[in-house]
Amino acid sequence: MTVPLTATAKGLQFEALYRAARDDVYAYVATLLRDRAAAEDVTALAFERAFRKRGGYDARRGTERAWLFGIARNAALDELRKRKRRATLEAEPADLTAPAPEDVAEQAMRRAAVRAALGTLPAREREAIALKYHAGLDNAELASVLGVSVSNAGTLLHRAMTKLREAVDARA
Amino acid sequence: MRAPETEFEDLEALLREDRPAPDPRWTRGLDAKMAAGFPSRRRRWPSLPALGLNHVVAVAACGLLAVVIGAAALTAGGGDDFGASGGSGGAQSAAESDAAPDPSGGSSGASAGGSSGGAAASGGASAGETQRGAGLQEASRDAKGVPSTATLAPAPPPPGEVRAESRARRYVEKSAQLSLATRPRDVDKVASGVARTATELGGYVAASSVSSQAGGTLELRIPSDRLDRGIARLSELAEMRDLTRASTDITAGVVSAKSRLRDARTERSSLLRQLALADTVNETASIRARLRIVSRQIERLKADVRRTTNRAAFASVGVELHADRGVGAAARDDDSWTPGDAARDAVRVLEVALGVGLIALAIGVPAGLIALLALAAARILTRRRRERALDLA
Repeated sequence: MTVPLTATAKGLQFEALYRAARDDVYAYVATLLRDRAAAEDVTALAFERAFRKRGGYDARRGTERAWLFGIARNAALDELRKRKRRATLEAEPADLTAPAPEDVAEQAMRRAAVRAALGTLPAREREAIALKYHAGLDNAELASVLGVSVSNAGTLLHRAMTKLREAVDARA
Repeated sequence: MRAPETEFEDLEALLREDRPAPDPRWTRGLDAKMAAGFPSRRRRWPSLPALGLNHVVAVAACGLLAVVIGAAALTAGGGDDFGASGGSGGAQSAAESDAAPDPSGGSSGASAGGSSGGAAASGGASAGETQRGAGLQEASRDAKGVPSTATLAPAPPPPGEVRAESRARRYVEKSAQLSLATRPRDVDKVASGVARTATELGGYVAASSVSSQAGGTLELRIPSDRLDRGIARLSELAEMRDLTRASTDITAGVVSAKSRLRDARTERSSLLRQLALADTVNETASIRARLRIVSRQIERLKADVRRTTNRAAFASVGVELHADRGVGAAARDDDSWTPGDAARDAVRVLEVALGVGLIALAIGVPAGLIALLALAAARILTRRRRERALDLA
């Protein structure tokens, strides 16, 4: 039996969601935007929007994480639209692919290669990889966030991973 | 060379290890905002979801409130219409009676009731007075065998005199016709109440014809200055279905009658002076004969004046009493509010509410559809722009 949640219960539920998803949302947005400062703003905006809209969450339309990442995705895409409008006025986004000076081991070099290869992928494929491996969504949640079927989400993810492998191999 | 699955697993592990991590300072700041409930500088009032209200419930509540307010407003307006229906009908009848004189004439028009009573009384009074004046002149001619002298033939009052007396006091004949309906078993009780009301107001029942269980008519005379009170009290006895009122200015008739009486008295004084100066037997006899005629005229004219002033002093009220089994609580003496009244009021309120609701739907549904279409179009457009921004990134 479904019991309607009171405002207090919804607040507590949202706080738990926030604790569980805060870093995941940031990782997804940062990968999509490739700009840490913008990712922080967009993540904060996404959580604020989700907090305001928490009464409108419908469990029949997907998990709470999928709902939250849908809001974060819209906020990130709005940021991309704004960035496109002022593209000529702003500098290039910060380069997240530069390896840290202390990364000298082979594993660190491989991570840097994957990071660099990920940066070369189109945004739509980079987004799918970020949702899956940075945010930890399953394929159903991924499909819900992207607004496609589960099989299409799987196909998109596989294609992105294949391209990523090719890009990593090309850099090797 | 490694298998693709192994390559993917390795890539997956590397991706998970290398995911961007937020700055701890920024994380603390966001945690604080979360703890404070994301306070907004722009929003002054809490949103509906923050209040725990569903949008649908809020819209429904607003709609219901609008319907209730509209129903209350319409009920108030409709109630006035219903309550004033008898009075307005009466007023209309009175206005019609003023505008449409009765060609039949005669003073009986007033007592016969109906909307033409007042105008008929006016016309009848004027015609009757003219006839009486002519009859007086004719009588004096018959008695003396010669045309009357100026002193013997009373002249009509000069217009200036009438106007002067009119300014001093106006004589208005009032009449009313009521139609009352009550249940058959209450006919006798209501008829008694009508008679008692007339008596208590200083009037009387001029004529009545009432049949138990069937109804009847009563002719009342009520002091004119208490006519309004009388109608109000009569309307409380039973359900008033019709009311007709009329007023006729009979000042000219009263002034004319008084003037003729004054002339007759002047003539009698003149005759008495002539009698005192009479020398011959024939002359004395002739003057005495003329005095008898003038004395009878004076008595008749006194009666005329009295009758005419009474028409102004007492209003004629005709009451038609109908027996009707369908008469409801309005015919009760106690005028209490019964469950039947409540049910009728409730039905009326529901009817009005339904009407207001239908009107609101007629306006709201198309407007809502247009708004929904616009909202859907805006969402589709925004989604497309976002996807395009993603493709271009």
